[in-house]
Amino acid sequence: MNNDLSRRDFVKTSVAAATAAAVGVPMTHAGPLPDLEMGLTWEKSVCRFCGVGCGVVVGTRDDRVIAVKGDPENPVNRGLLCAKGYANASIMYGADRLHQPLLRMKNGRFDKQGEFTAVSWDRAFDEMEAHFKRVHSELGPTGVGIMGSGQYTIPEGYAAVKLMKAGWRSNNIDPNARHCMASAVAAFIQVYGIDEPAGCYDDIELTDTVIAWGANMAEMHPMLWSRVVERRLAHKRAQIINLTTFRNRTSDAADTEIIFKPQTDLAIWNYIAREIVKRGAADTEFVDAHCVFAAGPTDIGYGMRGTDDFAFAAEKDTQARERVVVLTRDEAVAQGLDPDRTHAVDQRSTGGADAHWLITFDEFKTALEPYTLDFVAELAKGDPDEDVESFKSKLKLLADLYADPDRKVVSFWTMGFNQHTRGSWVNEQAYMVHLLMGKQARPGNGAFSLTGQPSACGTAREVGTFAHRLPADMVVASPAHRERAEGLWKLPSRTLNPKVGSHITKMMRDLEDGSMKWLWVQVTNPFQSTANANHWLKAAREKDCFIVVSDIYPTYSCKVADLILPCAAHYEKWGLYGNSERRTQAWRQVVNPPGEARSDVWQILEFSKRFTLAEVWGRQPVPGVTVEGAEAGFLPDVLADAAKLGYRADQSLYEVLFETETARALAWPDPVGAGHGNCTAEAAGIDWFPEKALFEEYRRFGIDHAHDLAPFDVYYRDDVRGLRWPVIGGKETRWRFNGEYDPYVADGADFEFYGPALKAIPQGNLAGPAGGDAISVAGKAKIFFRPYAAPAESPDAEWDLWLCTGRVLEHWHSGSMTRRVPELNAAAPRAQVFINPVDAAARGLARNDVAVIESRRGEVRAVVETAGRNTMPRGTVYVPWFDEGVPVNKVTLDATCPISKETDFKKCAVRVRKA
Amino acid sequence: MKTTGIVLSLAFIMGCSSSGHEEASAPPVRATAVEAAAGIPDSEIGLAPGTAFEQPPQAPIKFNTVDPGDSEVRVRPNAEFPPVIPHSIQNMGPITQHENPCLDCHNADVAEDVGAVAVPASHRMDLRNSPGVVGDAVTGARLVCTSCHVEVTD
Repeated sequence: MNNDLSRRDFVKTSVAAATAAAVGVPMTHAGPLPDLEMGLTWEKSVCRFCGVGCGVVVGTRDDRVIAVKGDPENPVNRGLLCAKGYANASIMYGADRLHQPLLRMKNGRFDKQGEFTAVSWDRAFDEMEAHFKRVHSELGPTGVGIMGSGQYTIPEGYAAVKLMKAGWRSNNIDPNARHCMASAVAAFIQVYGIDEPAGCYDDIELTDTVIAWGANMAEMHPMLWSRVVERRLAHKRAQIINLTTFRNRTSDAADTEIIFKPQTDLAIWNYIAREIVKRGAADTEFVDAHCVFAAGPTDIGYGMRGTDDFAFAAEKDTQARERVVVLTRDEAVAQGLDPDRTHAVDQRSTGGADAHWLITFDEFKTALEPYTLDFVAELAKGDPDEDVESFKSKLKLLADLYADPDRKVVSFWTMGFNQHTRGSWVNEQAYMVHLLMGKQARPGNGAFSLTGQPSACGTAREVGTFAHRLPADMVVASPAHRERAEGLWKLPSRTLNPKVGSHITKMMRDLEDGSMKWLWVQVTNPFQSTANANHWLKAAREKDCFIVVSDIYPTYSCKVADLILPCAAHYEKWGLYGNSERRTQAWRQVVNPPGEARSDVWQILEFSKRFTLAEVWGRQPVPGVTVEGAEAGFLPDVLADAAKLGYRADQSLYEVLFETETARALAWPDPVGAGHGNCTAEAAGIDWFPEKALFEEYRRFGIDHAHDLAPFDVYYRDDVRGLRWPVIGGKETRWRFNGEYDPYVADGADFEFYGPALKAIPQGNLAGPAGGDAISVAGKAKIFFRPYAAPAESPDAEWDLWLCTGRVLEHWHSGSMTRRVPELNAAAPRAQVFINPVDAAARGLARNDVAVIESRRGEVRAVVETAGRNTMPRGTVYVPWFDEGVPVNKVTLDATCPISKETDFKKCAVRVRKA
Repeated sequence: MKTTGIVLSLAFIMGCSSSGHEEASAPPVRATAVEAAAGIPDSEIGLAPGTAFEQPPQAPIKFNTVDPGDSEVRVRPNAEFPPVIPHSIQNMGPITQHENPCLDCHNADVAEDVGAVAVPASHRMDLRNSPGVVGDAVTGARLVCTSCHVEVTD
């Protein structure tokens, strides 16, 4: 066990005063402190933006946030922030902040072709309710949906998931985090049986090697990158390697840059694993004691629709690969097949892509055999202008670093791995190599998945705002998990719907095919962020559907909404986020929301008042569902059982789900909030503390289930800067699965991969499962063999360039906040198309010319950049997606990893011409 | 109730006055939806003119062409916001483990001589490993200046 709290106390008392004085930061332990010089009140808080989770202190005066600076007490960022972090002070004050609900109206009535007109909250909810009930009576629970977010606070996500799953008995809630880290989740569950990283950021200061794979950390996680750079400069033996498909800012401070061809990361990992095995470098003691070997099906498609009924004519050839894939020569070699034969493979396992089974070490070794240095170098070299021998020497260096038993290694990745049609596989391959070397769950060693959003871990994953999940890693498909959730939520048995709902991309498809007609968008901008957007924009405006968007600004998604609801921004409400290292952090409301803007928690609670149990807990149609004792295709009527629990059919969901006896016992005002407002409680006119009540109820799911969180008030203590779960006896856990640090590891064990999910699987071989009973692999991690597979779509003569999309340092996601900050907007005013100068010249394009980027699905125009922060190899272009004036997702392909359902935003085929 | 026209002018005024900054500005706001009593079409909200089915014209980026030494220090939005870079950095090499072109002028030992703003003492304190101690050099954690200090272009 560690003793972080006591160590932090020591640090605080010994050096904090000197630190604060030297950098002009007031001491912030004792709650709000007036800063006499500026007249500001300072309060510890959390950055609004990325998954790093930097600590900030927020300075307010006269009900306005005036300034934000880094919190020197916070171990995540020790007083530093990136440019976006400082802009936390400005992002709430854009000129067009939403202050009132806006409904499309014509002649005083709702009209889908009407103009946005200010209405009262009551009027807004009336319209929302009417459309909900119309759709619900026509289609049942699957006809409605919520698109949520990895930017939800924990109480927001928990309220949304409870309303959706327990109240409306629908699983159609899915976050934008599906686009962000679903592949990471799938791999965690398949390999360890439990979600989220073993290690923590402390690994950076303890390691010898940082290897970034598809993670431009210098721009996307700048403050974590500052720790990496600091470690590199302070530790002579340290090495930084950047594996990427084009040169970016992360290359600048790296020792070695490896430019690989899109999708060939799958082959590079297998080369490294082959080298480890061939050199006899594996930590066999660790592997024998703690790991098993596994494989799964390869005919799993690309997560596209099974039908091309809705495809544009030009899309149909790509779409056809969902059904039959003719293997490339490289794929045949990589799968141990005869490359001289044609292999047209029916994609039979699209519905069971996550299946897997045990194989032997010898079979694992055989499967790796094709991944020689020569084969992989020819396949993976990503810069046509680089000599293959130079590329080979870099791959060899990479293998040397991983295979050196005396070198600690951390592998970081983000969207390059996760947004990948084999994203779950490539995550698993990272664990494959780290587990083979025993370089996992040890200080300074680990494969570490970074998240993009501030609470992708804390809310989307841990609360479970996904179509298949429940809180604390439980899933709706498991009878035992449903029973436990029904118990904690005090629901009648068989209330919860066992059928997995629509993931976020499928919700868009559902809108298009008419199977979903009511959608509430919360804390996200999906019509800008979802691939193949021309389909979804058209569906939103032309289909029979009602779309509600809750936001703080009129976003691109608002342009196709029917109702816009104005929200309270981060520091205008109470909240908690969970970052990439399992650190849960909390902040207080420090200013009031403007006009009639309301917190998302208030919106969810208030809307829940409009439903009685009789309306939603009767018999409900759910196509394809099977519930014991109920007619096929229906959820059972649970009203009689509800009566036994003391509920009345005319009670509202608000009374049953939210205003519970335990919730009302947590009074507002509360001492933890002395001197602070609570916009949720005030707008609702209640004397209990909604955010605290939601958090305390949610926390019960994780206790004794390896997701233990501390009580709400602990996170607000002056000496706490977040805690990494599981928090046991007030102490956080830095390295999970490691007996020295993790109290969940069995007494006396050095390691135990104790995650409970998917821990009984059949024996099989590389060809498939052999049949027979499932074998327990409890306590073990799985080392998967996953082969190279070609992308869903690759450049050809007609569509001759790769398109990669992503972010830039200055802007957060779709830019709806940061583009309203003058300094950030001036630094990155528009999305450009980054292109190699030779590719540009061949198309008659010069820097700053306007180009058209066109795919089978759509086109956008953007100005050409042949210099700047990214250097593209010939054959690849990059267009960031922050700019609603350059909606690049009209061009991208909505193929997903078939296991995780996460879209591959990094690869599709385009052509570029002069506008 | 205000009309859309009045609301538009209000947005313009607010957009200019909110930062106290002389040159940088947010993209022009099409309309503020704050008091849309008269009704605003979807083409008039958000940062890009037009409906979601139209793309606004793309103008070339106005790159900063001011040489270092010829630029003026810009007003900051607040005292904590890192100063923006008022001059061109387009032709400078990247910041690497071994070279930092920003420090060629901004390092405290040369800044005064070349008329540049000197890196403050706070940047020489390692807040993680030796907080309270001001060292001789900019710390490793602050090596990548452009993480916090952004360039002014348009």
